[in-house]
Amino acid sequence: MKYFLIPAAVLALLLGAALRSASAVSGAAEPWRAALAEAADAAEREDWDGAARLVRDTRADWDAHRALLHIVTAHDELEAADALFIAAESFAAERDAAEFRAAAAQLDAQLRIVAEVQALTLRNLL
Amino acid sequence: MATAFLRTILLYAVLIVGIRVMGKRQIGELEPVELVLMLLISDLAVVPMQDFGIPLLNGVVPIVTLLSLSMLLSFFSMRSVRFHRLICGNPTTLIENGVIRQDALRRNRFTLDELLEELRAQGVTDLETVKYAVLETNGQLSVLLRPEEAPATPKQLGRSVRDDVWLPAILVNDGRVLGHALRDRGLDGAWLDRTLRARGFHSAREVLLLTIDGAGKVLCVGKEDRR
Repeated sequence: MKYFLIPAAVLALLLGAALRSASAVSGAAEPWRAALAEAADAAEREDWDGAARLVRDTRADWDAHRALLHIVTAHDELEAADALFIAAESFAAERDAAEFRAAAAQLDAQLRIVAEVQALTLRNLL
Repeated sequence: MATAFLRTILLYAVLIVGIRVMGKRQIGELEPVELVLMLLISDLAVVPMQDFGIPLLNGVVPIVTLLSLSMLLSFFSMRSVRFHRLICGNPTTLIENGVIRQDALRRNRFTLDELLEELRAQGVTDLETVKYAVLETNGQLSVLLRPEEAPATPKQLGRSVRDDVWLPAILVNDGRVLGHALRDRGLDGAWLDRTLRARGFHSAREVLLLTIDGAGKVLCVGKEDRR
């Protein structure tokens, strides 16, 4: 029976770990995206300090999840998000509303991709 | 470079452990399922070895998944003959009583040239001498000659033979004494010393190979550079 139980347990473990990592990444990405939307609103209100702080805090939380992201996600996707975080921070510091809006929108899309790639959905399967 | 080095070692270790878990049969004759497994695994292992932008887990997870699935298929194949036939197919008789079954050849896309080549490889040049030639599920051709063409066994000739076939146990391997093999044969270090001295050796380090068979016959081969 162990010839059945061992591989079945390994498969169950892998499936569990895959679902757990997908949920961890998407669970982390939701607040990041919400904070970016909030930062865009702050920039609209000309609250550049608030916008810069939100982007900085989001990036700090992103960095805190870097180990997990590096293990489960293609590094190209992470590097693209890194570059967009840097761009958003610098546009917030320069108080450039148009560029900041564009960078924040691109970053939001990139974070959505990072989370979506891990999700177990029919679209990803196909 | 260090990443490539360590990733290669890790993936190599995963593959070796996986293949060991699969069993010895995996190494030699491959069933269709096993062939597919080997093709996929070899490709999966190479990608994260060379591309550092891909997480190592992207290679390891599919490999472990495939190995686990393969073990499950083996389990169900052992449990159910019907399942085994579904996965691996059936052996097919290509020659019966010296007659080629052309429909079976066509069904298996086995050309006449391939059949003759396989027969020649097994020392058969005359189709008439073949009682059965069976294409096994692993792609090998098993050839059974007609009784009058096959080498006669002592049993067929009504002769009795002495059973003098023994499996030799290796006691010294390239200068290393295999203690468990000595103990399994009920021997000890003193016996080994006596045996080596009787053959002109001072220690096991000077011996390349020392074996003993079930009848107590000892084979001792010294190292060329022992002096």
